[in-house]
Amino acid sequence: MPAKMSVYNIGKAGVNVDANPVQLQDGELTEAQNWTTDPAGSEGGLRKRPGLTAINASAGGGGTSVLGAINLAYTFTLTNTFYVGIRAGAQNGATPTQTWRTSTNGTTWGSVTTPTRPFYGDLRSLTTWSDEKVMISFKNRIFYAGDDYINYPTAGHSAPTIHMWDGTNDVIVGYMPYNIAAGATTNSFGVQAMAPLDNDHFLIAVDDGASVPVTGNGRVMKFNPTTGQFTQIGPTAAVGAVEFNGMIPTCLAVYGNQVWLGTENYGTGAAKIFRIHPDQDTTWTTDTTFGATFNVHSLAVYKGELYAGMRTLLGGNPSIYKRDTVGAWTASLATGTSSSGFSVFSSLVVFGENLYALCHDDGVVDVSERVTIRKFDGTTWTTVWTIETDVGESATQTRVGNGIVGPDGALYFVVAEYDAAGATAATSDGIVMRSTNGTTWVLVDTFTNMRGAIGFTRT
Amino acid sequence: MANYSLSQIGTTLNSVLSGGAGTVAALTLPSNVTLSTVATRRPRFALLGSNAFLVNSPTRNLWIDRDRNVMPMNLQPPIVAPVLTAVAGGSLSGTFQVKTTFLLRDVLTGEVVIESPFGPVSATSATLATQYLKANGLPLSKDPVAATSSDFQIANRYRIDRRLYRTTTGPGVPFFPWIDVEGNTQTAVQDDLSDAALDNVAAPTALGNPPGTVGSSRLVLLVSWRGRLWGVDSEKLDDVVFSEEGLFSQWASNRFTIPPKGFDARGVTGFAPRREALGVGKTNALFQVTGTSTANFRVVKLSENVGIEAPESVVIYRDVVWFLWKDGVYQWDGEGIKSISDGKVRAWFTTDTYFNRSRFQNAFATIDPSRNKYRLHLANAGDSSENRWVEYDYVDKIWFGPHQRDDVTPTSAFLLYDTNDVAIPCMGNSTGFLWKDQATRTDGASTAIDSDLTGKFHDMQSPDIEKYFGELALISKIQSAGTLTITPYVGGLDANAGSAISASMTAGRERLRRLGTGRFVRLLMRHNTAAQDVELFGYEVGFHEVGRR
Repeated sequence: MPAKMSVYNIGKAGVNVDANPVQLQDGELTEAQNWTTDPAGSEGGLRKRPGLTAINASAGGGGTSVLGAINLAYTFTLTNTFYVGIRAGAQNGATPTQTWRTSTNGTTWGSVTTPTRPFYGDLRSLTTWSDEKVMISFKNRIFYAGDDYINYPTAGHSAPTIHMWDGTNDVIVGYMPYNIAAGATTNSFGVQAMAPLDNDHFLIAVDDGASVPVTGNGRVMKFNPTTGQFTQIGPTAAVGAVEFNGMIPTCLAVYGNQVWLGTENYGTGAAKIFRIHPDQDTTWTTDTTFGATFNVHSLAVYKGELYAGMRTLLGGNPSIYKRDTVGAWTASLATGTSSSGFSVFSSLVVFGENLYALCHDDGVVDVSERVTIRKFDGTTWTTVWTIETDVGESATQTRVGNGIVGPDGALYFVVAEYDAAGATAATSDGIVMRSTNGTTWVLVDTFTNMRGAIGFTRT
Repeated sequence: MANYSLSQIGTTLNSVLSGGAGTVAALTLPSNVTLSTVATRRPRFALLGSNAFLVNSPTRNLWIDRDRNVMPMNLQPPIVAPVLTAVAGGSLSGTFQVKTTFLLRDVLTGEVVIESPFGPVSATSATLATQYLKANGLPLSKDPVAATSSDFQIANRYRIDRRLYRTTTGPGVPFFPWIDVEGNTQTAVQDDLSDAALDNVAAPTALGNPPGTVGSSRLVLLVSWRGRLWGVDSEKLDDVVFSEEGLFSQWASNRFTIPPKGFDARGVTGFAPRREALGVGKTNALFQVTGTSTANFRVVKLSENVGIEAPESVVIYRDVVWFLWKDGVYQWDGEGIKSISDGKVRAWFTTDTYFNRSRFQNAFATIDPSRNKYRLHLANAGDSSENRWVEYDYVDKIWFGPHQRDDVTPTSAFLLYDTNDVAIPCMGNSTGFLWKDQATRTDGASTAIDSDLTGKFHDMQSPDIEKYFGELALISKIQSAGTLTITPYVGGLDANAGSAISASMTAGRERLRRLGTGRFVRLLMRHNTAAQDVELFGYEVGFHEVGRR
């Protein structure tokens, strides 16, 4: 009798090499080289296995064997976005509508109108030139002092704001609290400096009361951006008390488990550096008092020692001082002669094995060479960059700025003209310099009203 | 999303981008660190959080951060004690002792990532009387940490600092964090921090380095489980060591010995981390570690005469473990340990017909989550490289293979993630390439996949009766092109090959020639043309019995 054998489950039972021929099921095979079932892309049949294609277009390791691999956890490419603030006001004849310069690669820059404009002190008659330090990069976001408040003692004054920008959201995460020493309802004049403290906190130094003339109240706050909690470092002085010997905080550093505060004694010099064990000491200790022509403008820790960049008054040499690990302060670099009182080492940055300093030396005769970047290798200071004459509207104006090491492994300095009474709007008054090795410097951006605060987000 | 993998290719550690051109970039290793290519020193990777680790092949254990900076996994401890003196000024009084550690600090975040074990304790200081306590002769680390900058590796991202711990006056017994000295340059520091102002948290007690911190030993295996790294000591191959929870640099003295000690020269041969247990395999037994902390970790023997033969054969997916032992592949899940090859393909593993069993130790495997397959790479019989692989469908519980590709030799297998964050099975080969599946049925650019299947001897339930087999009808998925070659074997179990039949893959259904007379019919099907797909739905053969001879 004719019959028919139907095998519509071919391969459905896979390979069987253990059973004898008469025991095998119809759907079984004894060999299936390069055949498989493919639930990801077939119609349920027995199919050729997928092909294999190389992930990498070029052989790795010189064409040798790939011995193992692992996928990195949570790997993704973080986009670095640099931010440099743009000040308000008509310094160069027009008030830019933009609030920040930004770049995702450090070399090509553009302007944006969000987030909120950062705080700049010169428009509020703040004369410490510290406004380039009112911003930090912290946990892949930037935190900065906003320009959206009315400073004391202007009528209707309000509390300075602390903003967080994560690349998308501009959020006010804190308002600087009153300083009881300056008055029960007296707001801070403005934020002077920020610096990271630990994994959860950063420091905010503020000038309380009017900046000029000096009223002598300042504080350093520890801020937790997660909880929004401010904690004052050191004592809370009584009403009317004078903190920091009447000096204005200008810069911060953390060194040897202590917080270090540089100050300016406007118009007088003889500024001090204070230190304190945060959460432990109840008073600030005066670590040193500098000479009559010196104010402290920048701090950095380099190879285990603390360096202080000075702003000098008339007749003082622009200088960098160093504190060794046992407390002795000595001059590390003294150069030129300040002729007008506007010479300053406004930023100190450790990059690789070297310390870099941004210098404006008003005593240099050739005005085109007044702004320099200096490098210190632990032994010798050298000049690695000198401002070009065609950069900025006027090389005669004092230039201050700030530097950071970016997440792209490059060193950046923002160099901004500091002079509210600047000349024409002919060119730019702020520039960004970038270097990947500390030796070769590239001018990557110029922009009117660009100022020294620089930071980055990683998103 | 761009996914990156780490891959050891020859003596280089590389970053490989899963998308685009799959850019391969060699990572800069710390100075004085090299990678071995010796078979017994295969690279063993593990992840803990966002950190990756590489052991066994490097001359010292390596840690790779999310940005692919490569650093030592641990720092060697200080070897000298500070010398304490009293310095005028300050406000500290009493006698003290100090000891130090080295720190690896992330300059970008300020976070301490690694802390070395303690160096020796200093002698007791002279009695201070309202003075500073000065620590002289601070140790300097010689560990390499500076990475060369690239487009993603950040130069000098990490820095070695020193941390000093101090007693209270007396000197007291506990040490407390005192001062962090930034950098690896200064050799003296002083401070007058009062006892009351010392950190309330005493010095850590779990500092310690694993084997592989220096070049004299290494971690042979490495895996992550319960938020810890677990490894095998190359000097004591029966010992499992493990880190503190969440702290890859702190290993204290955490250690188990897996019995029987000294049974063979291989010791622990594999880890299998499941959700609630860490499988620990030896060549003759399988153990599990259970518990949640050092207070209640315990080792239990699960099975004798089943163990892990090849460390790289172990694959875990959805809390199910598959691994190769001497006589086949086993599955360990909530229902216990069982062979998944017995009764189907046991002969693959217990005879010398199919594979080179002397190389089972070198087998490697991965998982194909999309196609529900466990892929195990083995050496063909008589060959000395793992040039074949078999597949186990863990849903249908069936096997396929042995597969092969004709142009290159696989050398490793692993699971990576594509640009859509989808897990894809990959294999490395002997020419520096990582391979992944592609829909096109071609290996590489143009190599055909030689697909060859052998069906059963169909006997129509009457193996002793002669039959006449009529036309063969083949049903398949309609393709745009292609021809399948079918070779019928008609006769007894020793039937010879008949004339080949060509079946078009473009028809969907095709009636083919009559097959002939015999007790059995068996079909071999082969397709060996590049870029052509074949999917078979089934076949029919008309027949009638002729009689019994």
